[in-house]
Amino acid sequence: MNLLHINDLHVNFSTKAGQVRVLSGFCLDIEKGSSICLVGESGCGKTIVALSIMRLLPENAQVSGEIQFKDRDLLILEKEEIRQIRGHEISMIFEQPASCLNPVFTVGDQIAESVRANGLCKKNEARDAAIELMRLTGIPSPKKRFDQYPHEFSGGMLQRVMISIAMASKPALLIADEPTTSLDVTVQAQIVELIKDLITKFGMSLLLITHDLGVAAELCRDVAVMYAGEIVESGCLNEVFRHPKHPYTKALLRAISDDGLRPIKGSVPELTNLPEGCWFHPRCPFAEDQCRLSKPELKNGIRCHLWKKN
Amino acid sequence: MEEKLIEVVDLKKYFGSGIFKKSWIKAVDGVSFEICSKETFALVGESGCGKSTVGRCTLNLIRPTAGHVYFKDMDISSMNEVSRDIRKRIQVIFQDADGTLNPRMKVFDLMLEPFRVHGLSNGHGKEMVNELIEMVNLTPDLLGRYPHELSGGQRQRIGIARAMALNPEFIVADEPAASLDLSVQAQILDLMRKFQAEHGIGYLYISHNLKIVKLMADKVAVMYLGKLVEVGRTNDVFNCAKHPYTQALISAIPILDPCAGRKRILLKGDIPSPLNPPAGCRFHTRCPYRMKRCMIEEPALVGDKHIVACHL
Repeated sequence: MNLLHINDLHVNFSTKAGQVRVLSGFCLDIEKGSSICLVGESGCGKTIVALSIMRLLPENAQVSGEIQFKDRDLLILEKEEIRQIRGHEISMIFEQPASCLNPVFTVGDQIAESVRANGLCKKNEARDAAIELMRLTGIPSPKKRFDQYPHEFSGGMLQRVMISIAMASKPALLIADEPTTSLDVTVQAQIVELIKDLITKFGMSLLLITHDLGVAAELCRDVAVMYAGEIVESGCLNEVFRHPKHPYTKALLRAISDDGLRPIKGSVPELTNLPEGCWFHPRCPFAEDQCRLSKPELKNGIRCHLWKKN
Repeated sequence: MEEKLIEVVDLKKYFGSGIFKKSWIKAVDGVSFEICSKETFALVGESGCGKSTVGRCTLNLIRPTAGHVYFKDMDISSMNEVSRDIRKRIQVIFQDADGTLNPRMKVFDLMLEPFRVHGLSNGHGKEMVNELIEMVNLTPDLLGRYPHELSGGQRQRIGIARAMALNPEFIVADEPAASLDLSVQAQILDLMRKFQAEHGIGYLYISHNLKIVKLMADKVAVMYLGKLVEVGRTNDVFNCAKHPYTQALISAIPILDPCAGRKRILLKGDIPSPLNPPAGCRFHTRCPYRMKRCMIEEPALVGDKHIVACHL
């Protein structure tokens, strides 16, 4: 039974420069209790997927397709109804925790606010519930830190606060958008362990968005590699990372590896000006004539004309 | 034997803190190292450990509180103003190329700027810029654009081109690839290595990304709270790290293969405040192997080629 089912999602932005096609025909299934990672370079549409699920896209976005969450289509729900889901059944943590917290309220108040918003307990119990959440996410001496302000916390601790807020409702799905990118390696390792613990403890599903393949490998069972707004390869993470089939996945994995640097030539195409045929062909070392002419479909988790040959 | 380019001796930089500057933040507290030409010397550590301050002191962008920086036996740390001639030979690449490019100047003028400042343009500006832009694999049609019209990778390349323009002998690269995507990172690092091979440049590479350091550096120095805790050849440091902090840093690198079993050393807590560093070994508050002695006595850097500051 799928917790989340995204089918044929298209997102366009109307801008002065014309229509920008950000996501085209994006499909993804997340089962209950599974963890999946979206990887790809910046501008490939990873974050847009998350924002579409949360219905947080800016107003100039045109969205079509369906996002089924527990048999309800999130895209057609009323604003009131989506608020019942956002932050309750689906929670999200962001790359920059400092910019998500209000600097003039204490950290504890902000966690308590999310506890109260969930209607899980009375006002006077919220403090205890918040302290409990802080303890759960490994914030030392939570009673003392409850009354401190965000600027008194380090980056890693703020990310723990964000996770506490996200965990207040014990969501069914946690979306983590680059949760460790702004952190130091040692703190990154701590946060990765924390997220791993929490998802097993509460049986949550995880949608991780990252460009750090190492973090992806530590946290997720499945992976979907995105390029220019569509999935080019998806499947079990172990299988994909060990035996990548799509030339882009191969290049991405080899770009910085233990045996040296092998940069991918060229750069990501502009979304207003996508090439004919396969979108990766201008950078692909194996490109043939058919790659320049027709666009490959996603078959068996891979979008490439040539994968059987390579 | 390669020529010695930079020698840093017992560098210290304290910042005053509070309204009356009564307390001192010891950002860098007695750091010494040498860099030869054609060598990449990496400085690694968590944020706030003083890596960038060392980089800036080396360039004399900020004046060290004590200690000396020698560039080819010239003491640049004691000069009031570093001469143009030396500035030309020492360059810097910053993490945030955005902040270093004047948003009101077109790429062409930005690239011409180093030549102009040093009075080298005299009429051949256009050719020089064209040569330069080709060197960093950019197309000349970008020359008429403004920095905000470029991607992060392109901007960083312009930053590199500006640093390389005057054929420097030594470059401080402060997290040159940290804000970029993986594939773009690889392009930038590849470019830096190419220049090193062609021009014999010495790099001081400041980064917290150990995976990249392992690929780029010849020597690695690990810094913790303003002090070096371990220095050695890259292979020695990565293959047999001696200091517990280095071991923890290396074990924290996320690896691609989830099945490759390994024991991860998880450090508890954050880096302590440099305002009030712990007594004894500065790492003892987070060290899994600490002994009584570590809390009292500060360990000295010992060893010949692979030096470590640890009682164990």
